[in-house]
This record gives sequence, structure tokens and C-alpha cells, in this order.
Amino acid sequence: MFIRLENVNYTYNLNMPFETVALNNINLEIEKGEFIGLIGHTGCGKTTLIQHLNGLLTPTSGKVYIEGIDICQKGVNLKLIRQKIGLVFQYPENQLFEENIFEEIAFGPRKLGLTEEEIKKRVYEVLEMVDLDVSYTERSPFSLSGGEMRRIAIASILSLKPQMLVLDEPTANLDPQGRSKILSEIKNIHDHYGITILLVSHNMEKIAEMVERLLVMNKGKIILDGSPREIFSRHAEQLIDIGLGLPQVTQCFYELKKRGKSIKEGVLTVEEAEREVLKKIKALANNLQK
Amino acid sequence: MIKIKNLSHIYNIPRRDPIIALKEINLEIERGEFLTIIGSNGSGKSTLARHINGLLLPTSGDVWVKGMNTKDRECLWKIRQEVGMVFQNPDNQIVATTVEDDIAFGLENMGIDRENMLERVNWALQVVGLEEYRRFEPHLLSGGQKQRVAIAGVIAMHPSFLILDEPTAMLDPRGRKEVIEVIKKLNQEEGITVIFITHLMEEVIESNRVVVLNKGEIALNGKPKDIFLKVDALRSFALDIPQITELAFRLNHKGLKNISPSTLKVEEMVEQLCLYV
Amino acid sequence: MNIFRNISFGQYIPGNSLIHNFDPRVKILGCLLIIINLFLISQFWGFLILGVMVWSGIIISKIHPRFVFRGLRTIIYLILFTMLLHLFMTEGEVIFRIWIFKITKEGLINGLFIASRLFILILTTSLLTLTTSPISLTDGIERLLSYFKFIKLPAHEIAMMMTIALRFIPTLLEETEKIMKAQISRGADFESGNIVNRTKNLIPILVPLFVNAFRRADELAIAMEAKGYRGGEGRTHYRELQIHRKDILFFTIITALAIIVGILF
Repeated sequence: MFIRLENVNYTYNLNMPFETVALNNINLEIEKGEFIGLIGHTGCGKTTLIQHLNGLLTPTSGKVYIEGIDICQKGVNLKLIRQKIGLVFQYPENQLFEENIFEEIAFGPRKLGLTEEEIKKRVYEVLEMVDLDVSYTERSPFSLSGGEMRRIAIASILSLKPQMLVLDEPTANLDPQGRSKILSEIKNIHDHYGITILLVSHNMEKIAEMVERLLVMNKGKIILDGSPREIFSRHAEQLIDIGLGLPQVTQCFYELKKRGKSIKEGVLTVEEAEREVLKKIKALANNLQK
Repeated sequence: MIKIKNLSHIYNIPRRDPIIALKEINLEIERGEFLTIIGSNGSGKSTLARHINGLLLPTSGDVWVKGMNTKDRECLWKIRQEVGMVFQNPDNQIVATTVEDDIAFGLENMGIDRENMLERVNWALQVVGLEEYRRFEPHLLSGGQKQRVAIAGVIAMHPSFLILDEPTAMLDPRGRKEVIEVIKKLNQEEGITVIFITHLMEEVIESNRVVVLNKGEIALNGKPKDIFLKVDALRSFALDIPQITELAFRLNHKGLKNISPSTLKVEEMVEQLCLYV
Repeated sequence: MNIFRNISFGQYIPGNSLIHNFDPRVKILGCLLIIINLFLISQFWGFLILGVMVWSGIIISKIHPRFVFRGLRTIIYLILFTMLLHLFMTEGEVIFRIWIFKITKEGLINGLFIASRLFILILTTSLLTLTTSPISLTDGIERLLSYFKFIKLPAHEIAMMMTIALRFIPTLLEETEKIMKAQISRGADFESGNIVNRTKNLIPILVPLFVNAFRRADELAIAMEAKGYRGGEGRTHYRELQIHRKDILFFTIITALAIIVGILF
């Protein structure tokens, strides 16, 4: 098992007047190579949860194991953990600080003590991973567009060669073009480089299409854990109840079903929806002919 | 009424090619409208918005607000009062340390007397539904609430026009919904003319008219229903089509003529599909 | 890793006591009077009276002494240090001798006086900040400074700067924490190394912090301009400050006591 969280609780301002429970008995297992989505309202504990994965936060109680090692005990090399689990914060372009993009991406590898040669190799490698041209290395990170800056920030984590990439709302405040660009790169990073992905997002439509496993958080708890199809078909009502809603086509089919139509539930994409409708019409027509 | 004639704007950046942000824009906005201006990044939508209240001045062409030209320095403060503006980042437009003080900020600038001010602050708080939060510090509010504070601060000044420059871009879905509800209410119940800027197609549904900007030019201008018919054009402007509209478009093309290709809402789609399945 | 969450700023404790409800101008001036007095007096009785005055203020304000002492905790070592310094370093009539150290009568008195001075000073300012919200404090300062307009003191500008600073302190603290965590995730190390390295390690925090702060300032300026802000000229005030009879009474008592204590001791 790659990652295991056991009865993790986290409380902000413990024993203070403003004490707030952010995580409530979280149990979670993640295998290598998974592509996981995490959804939930702002303030449901998503950000707190992902900060436990690389030891930025230590649980108030409970255990976090990375490759079998309890990372909360004394003497654990957290730097190594943070190199293994790459965490990309929301609006990561706000952390860029170097003079040029080469140095920006080289920051992490340099801290790992790699040789100049290796650093150079890594910088070029990750630029390719985020689909940016080598000619960018000379430019200032602050001269780029928002979407490009964000890709540089992701590259600066990838240069640590993490086994897992955790991204907090990587598409926030991007226009549709920038959004699909980032998402297709994330997919590519998973598919071609075999990096485990945990994607935190508010974008139901996209997440339903992309991920293999979906986690739903509400009020500090993981309330649902399964494939998007399973969750959107069997737990549609619950998602609507807590106000997260469904992807548009999923909702459309959910309501058809509610009106007594016999139609597939948990439809995730427009293509699938189109297919289902046409299939249904054909079946009805055939019945009529008979 | 707002009248924009032959408006062009060029940004001159030292040691770089000048950027033509707006090219020969002609646009009239009537009282009571709910106009959405949509476009991808770099389409010039924010630049256009900032011309309407004189934060930017045209390189060539003119902008008139209720007959006042924004180039006329004498009218500038009057124009800013007529045209309220809400920005993208809710954190960076709240000045004061409590909600009510921030809403009063614009009124203090206008020199409104205290009695009147109190009345207007109360009204604005009630319109945006934040009465219980009046003594809160802004950093304790959610993104959607902060943005509603910003809106309240602007409408307290009783503007005829309200420009919202991507007010939902940094919000989560819940915050988005809150803000759009408030804007709709302002337009329908308070009669404020709304100019709403966004890059999300699903947010244009509530408006009466949509202007699509592409590379500094008006590419499309019409009712949402008509705009959504132009799926291919919208794609070429790097805009997203909501899933439901895309499904309707596809089914219509497959010969399901009772499904209107400009279906915008899930409920509409459900009604139409019921005829078939 | 929640470095900043435990710091409470302004440390205003809301309440509805007599002290809370005094006009901030009166409170600020009263505070100033007591502080000036502290440095004028040189007799034990003076300190005692001032101390009793401030302490009764705390009792009237109904603020738990715990909060008052919390403010004192950080500075207690400074007080002890200055006291010891005076204790050992003052020449005079020796009353006590340990090894090479000698304690003189003057030293003892000086040390005690300095300690009481600092102690009462902290108590007084704590009482002010604990019972006055940052916003009315700023208001009070603005009004007080505006009495000095004739020497071209930019009262409104100073107050506006204070307001904006207060407004953005929590935002910037939150941002600092986030940037730190983000850079740690990128491999930064803020804990090890010598002083030169540690200072160098701050660059990844400071640069983004400043870049973001400048962007914020820029956007805030535009937003303020859009709301018709053009300085203090012709501006009205949402917050109303009114001097009531109790304020005048309070101020008279403080002034009278201050003058008496100042003259007598």
C-alpha cells in the first residue's frame, strides 16, 4: 500500500476558543498509479487533508503511512516524503520568485543536492511534461500568462520527481482554454509517466470524465469513495442533498429516471448521453414496429 | 444609457510591441438591461469594462454615460457614481475592517450625511442578504460573502449601472450561485442595469443580451438563445459549451427536431427528452 | 505548522462596560496623560496611585486579568532585565554585597521605579487596546490628529493607512503561511543552516509576498478610485464620535488626578 491514513483527526486551534474540527476520523488508502478526484465544498477539509499527505500538517490523532512508514513519528525524513508526494497548492503561480524559469524549476532539484548536469536534464524533462518550449528557460516567470505560470509552478514540483502529484484546484480562475490545457497535461502525466494523481476540483463535469476513483468530502469526513459512475448513479440524491450537485448530463438523466423513464443512471459524458438517448429511441421504435 | 462609439484601446508597453486590446467597438447599453460580456483571456473584456467608468480612457473613439463623455474630466466623479464597479478578487477591493464600514466607504467619499448613510448601508446589506454579518471582519467571510459585500458597497452609492468584472472567477460553485442570485435580484427588483463580465458560458443564461468579444472585437451580439446556436463559432473563440447545450446540439443534428439546439437549462432538456424516451 | 493562527491581533475583547463605551479620543488622551505622568513622578506614592487607577480601570472594564497578563508575558523579561541592570549598576549607599556584586539603596529604588513604570505603562496600553476596537482606535487617532491640521498634519491619510494595514494583516499572514508551506513542498528548508543561509532561505517567501502585496495594493487602489475616493477632502464619516457627559467627567477626573499626582510626587 502506497498511502494509508488511519483514523486521522485534525482540529485547528486545539483547546482554544476558536477550536474547529477540520478532519473527522479519516480512513483512506491509495495505491500507486491511481487517478483520484476529490470533491467537496470549500471548508469541508479537502485542503487540510492533502496537507497531511506530505507532512505539512500532523494529525491531532491518528496515523499517516507513506510506503509503510508512519510519517508522524520522530526522526522521519520529511524532506524525502515531500519529494515523493508533490503537493501543488491553489494558485501556485503566486509562489514563483526566481529570475528566470530555469532557476524556478531548478529550485527543488538544487535543494536535493543534484549536480548541475542532472539539474539541467531534469529541467528540460519537466518542461516537456508540461508542454512548454525549451526556449522558455531564459524568460522571467512573471512575463508569462496565468495559465503558463501555473504550468511552470507544476513543473517546479515535478522536477522533484515525485511518485504522486496532489493538485489543489489546478484550474481555478483559468479560462476554458487554459483549463483544458492543464487538465490534459495532468492526464498525460498520469498516463505516460505513471505518476499517481490526486486532483481536488470543483468542476464536476471534468472530474467525472477524467478520474477513476472519486472521493467526496463533507464536513471533515469522507462520505463517499468509489468510481464516478457508481457515485453519480447510486448516490445522486446524497450529492444533491449536500449541495454539490451532479454534472449537467448526469442530472438530466437522473431527473428523467425520477419521472419514471427507464433510462441508464450515472451517465458521465455528453457522448455517452447522446448514445443512450439514440439507443433508447431506437428500442422504442422497434417495439412500435412489432 | 451608455453609448460606445468607435472605441479602440492600445496598450503601449516599453520595449515591446503595442497591444491592441480593443478595435473599433460600437455598443449601446439601454437602461434596465442585463448584458453579459463574454470572452476568453485577452479578448479585451476587462479593458472594455474599465472604459465605461473612466478608469481607462480611449486611445480613439468615445464613451458616453448618460450623455457625459468619459474624457471630460469634470464629469469623471459623476460618472463613477453612476457606474459602479465590482472586481474579480474579493480580497483586494474591501478597504475597511468591518462589513458595514466597507459598505459605507463609497458613501463617505460622496460626502453623504450620516443619517442617509445609515439608511443606505442598511438597505444594501438587506439586498445582498448579509444583515447578520454587518459587524464581521472581512477575512472571516467566505469568498461569495466577500463578493456580496463588494456589491453592497457599490449599490449603496445608488448607481444606475453596475459593472461586474469577472466577479465569480475566483469563487467556488456555491459562491458563484450566491453572487449570480444577487445580481439577478438587483436587475429585476431594483432596476439596476447590469453589465456582467465572465468567461463561463453557463453564466450567461440569466442575461437578456450577450456580447461575445474575440481579440478586441465584438464577434457576436444577441439574445442568449441565439448566441448558443453558434456552437462552432463559440468554440473557435475558445469558449466552453455547457454539457446540456452540447447534448441538445448533437441530438438536434441527429434528427431529433423537437430538441431545440439552444437548450440552456437541465429542466428544459428533461421536458424535451420526455417527448422521445 | 500553524505558525500564525495562535497570534491574536489588536487583541480587542468586545464588551459593554463603562470603559468600553468611553469615546476613543478621551481614552487615548487619558492614556497619554497617565504615561506622561509615569515619567514625571519619582515617589512611591505616585506609582501606587497610578497603579490603583489603572487597575480599577481593568476591574471596571470586566476584562479577565488573564488577558491583561498575556500582554505582559512577552515583556516581563525586559522589565526584569532593566530592573536588575539598575539594581546592580547604580552607585550609592551599599546595603548588600554578594561576591563582586553590590546592591545599593539607590539601585534598589531605581530598579523598582523603572519596573513599576514599565509595568504600569503596559497595563495602561493594554487597557486601551483591550477595550477599544481597532476601528474606533483609528477613528479616535484620526480625529485627534485632525486638530493639528493647521500644521498640515495629514490626519486622514495616516488614518487610512492604519485602516488598510489593519484590514490586510490577517490576509497577509494567511498568505505568508500558505507561501511557506508551498515552498516547503517544493523542497525549501527554513529550519536548518547558519544565519546567512537562513536569511537567504527567506527569499522564496519574501519575493512572492511582495509581488502579491504590490498586486493587491494596485487592485485596491483601482477599486478605491472606482468608488470615488480622492483623499480626505469633502469626506463624511460613517462612524460617529460623540463626546457625552460621562466622557467629559472621565476626562476631568483623569486630568485632575494626573495634575495632582504630578505636582505632589
